[in-house]
Amino acid sequence: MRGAELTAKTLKELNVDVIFGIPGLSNMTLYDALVEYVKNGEMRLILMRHEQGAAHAADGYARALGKPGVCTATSGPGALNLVTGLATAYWDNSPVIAITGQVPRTSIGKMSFQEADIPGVVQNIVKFVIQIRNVNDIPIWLSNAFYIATEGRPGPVVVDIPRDIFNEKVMNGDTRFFRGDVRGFRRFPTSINSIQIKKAVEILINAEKPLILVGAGAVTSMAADEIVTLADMLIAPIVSTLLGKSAVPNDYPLYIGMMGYYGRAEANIAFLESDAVLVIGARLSDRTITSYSDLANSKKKFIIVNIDPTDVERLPINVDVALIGDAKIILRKLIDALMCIGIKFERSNWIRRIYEFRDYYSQFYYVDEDSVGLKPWRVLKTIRGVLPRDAIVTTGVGQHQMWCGVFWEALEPRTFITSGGMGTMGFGLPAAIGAKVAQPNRVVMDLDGDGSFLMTVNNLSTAVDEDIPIIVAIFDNRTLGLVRQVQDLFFGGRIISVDFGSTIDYIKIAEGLGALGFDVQTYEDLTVAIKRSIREDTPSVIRIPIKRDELSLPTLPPGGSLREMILHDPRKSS
Amino acid sequence: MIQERVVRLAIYYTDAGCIERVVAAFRKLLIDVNWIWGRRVDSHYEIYLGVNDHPNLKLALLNLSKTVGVEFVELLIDAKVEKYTYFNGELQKIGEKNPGNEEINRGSKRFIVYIPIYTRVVGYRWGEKYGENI
Repeated sequence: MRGAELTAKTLKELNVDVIFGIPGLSNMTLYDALVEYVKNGEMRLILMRHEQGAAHAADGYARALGKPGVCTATSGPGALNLVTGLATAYWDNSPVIAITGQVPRTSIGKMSFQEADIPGVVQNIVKFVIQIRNVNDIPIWLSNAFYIATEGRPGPVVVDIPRDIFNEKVMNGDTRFFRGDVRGFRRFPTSINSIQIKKAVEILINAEKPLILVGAGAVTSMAADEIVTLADMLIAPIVSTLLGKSAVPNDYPLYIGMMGYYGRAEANIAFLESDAVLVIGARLSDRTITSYSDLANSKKKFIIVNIDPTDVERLPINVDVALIGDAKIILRKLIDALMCIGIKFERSNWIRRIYEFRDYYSQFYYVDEDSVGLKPWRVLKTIRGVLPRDAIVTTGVGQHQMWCGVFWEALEPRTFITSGGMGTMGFGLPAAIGAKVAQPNRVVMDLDGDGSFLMTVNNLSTAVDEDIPIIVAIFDNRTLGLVRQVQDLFFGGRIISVDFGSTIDYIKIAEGLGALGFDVQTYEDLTVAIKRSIREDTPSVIRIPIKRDELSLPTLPPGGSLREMILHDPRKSS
Repeated sequence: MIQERVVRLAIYYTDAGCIERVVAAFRKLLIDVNWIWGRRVDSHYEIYLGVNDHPNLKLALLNLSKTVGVEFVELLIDAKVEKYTYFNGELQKIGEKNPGNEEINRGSKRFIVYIPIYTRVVGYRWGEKYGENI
């Protein structure tokens, strides 16, 4: 047995059944070792068109399924192309395993052909990277990689393997694992004693305006039932971060919406007015709480539920109770404690006030005044009306992503997949491919912008060749809309280097790559196109015209606080 | 004058990149590293660093404490660094009587040894904290 075969065997024993990637000089021996597994139907190798797409696809797979996604690339440029996708996975806590080929050990460090110092390049943008030095270490480090990627706060791990090791003979081909025993890597401690639970419950009981804020950790923990039960018991509204949108069904009456920089006004107001916030699996980034000055002189109490105790330690706010551990387990303890007390809460004034805000701000959201293009909110409402409840959507990054944050209704856990922390344009399409591979019986739709779509459109060809029937909806405003919006509103209207020409034809691009293309002009067209795409069960692209200067609102001025929300088009009032 | 803080940590050896990861934890948070002393002992590196005090220091320590391979990170409280010169087999403390010579071209026979003297430690280890608050 050679190192490549040992790698293949180990991956199979780690229950890997799909790898997204591109073969090249330094990982082709691995591909060769996988041939039999592919022939037997035990493994699927999906040939992406660019390695960035491979990393995003593995990421989409991991987020849709809750288990690690695997990608591979050859040495040098191949591995370097993974970098953006790996950073994206790291910022959003997604368990991606990247196996990169490397030049032979005798060539490392000598500016060899297709050589790049991948450990040096990625060590600050992944959870862990290891370069294999000995063929016998392959099983141990692959096993460790999966453990490290999934334990605690999930994240990407890179295993860099020189190609001479792939070719090296192994005397003992046993896949020896050291599960759960990686030196210098520990499970975070849990801290949920009865005193802390009692204190948290007291805060929640005594609060007049309690609020629940859910983030990505709540999605990872699959704690939707517990969150809803708790909200019902406390009569507490729920707001989310962008990544936490699918933590609870967005049609649940107490879910108010996404808060933060481009969040719903009523969600931001609810956060600002609340007197106690139960934060579940959110790190309170600068996109969620844009300025901590909003909390200055606030008597707001914070109960933080997080699997990572250092996340609590670093917060620049006074944390009243920190409950460290898995959200689902902690919430069950809170529920049990509340049930023992058996209090019926009367918070109708608080809820009524929130609903009044929601009704008031609706006048700014649901506007249909223009005849040019379709309105994003109505587009998303139309799509939601057609897609099944368990459909998965991915997004690119830009205005369309913010519209999705505000208007999309995620109804089941792990059905809203987006690049939140890194804000990586081009994420949506390859992530949709990964999600569809992970959940082949679900409808998977990439809600994309034209700018984002163009960055990774090449991977549409993969969807066609591999028979992965994703649907791509392009919000086509012929511009990099979010940058344009900032230029327009905050740079004195000095629009520069954002607008695309009018000649690009997304339908021809789709058809040229073998997908179906739909050019819709009305909401009825959109409904028909989606239904046909689902029926045809083949990759499809739906182009949706959006007015070029359509704004993503609410927004804040750059560096602004949540109190400075801009709710309506300021260009119209001047 | 910016106060110097002294950090001690242990990180298990996988390759020499361990040292890069340690130093990067400070660099990424704009913290200057004044000196570093370390040695591989069996399976791990023991590393001491003198870093400038900085508002981001605690975050750097927290990040380091959950870096794969790191066994613990400690901030040495009240740390003062005593300097010694080693020349011709003789170790002398640098002070008023012996100003020493730290110039870059002082010659290869004269070694400078930096020894941190401290009163207690605050330690972090994968979400556990021991010692006192910073």
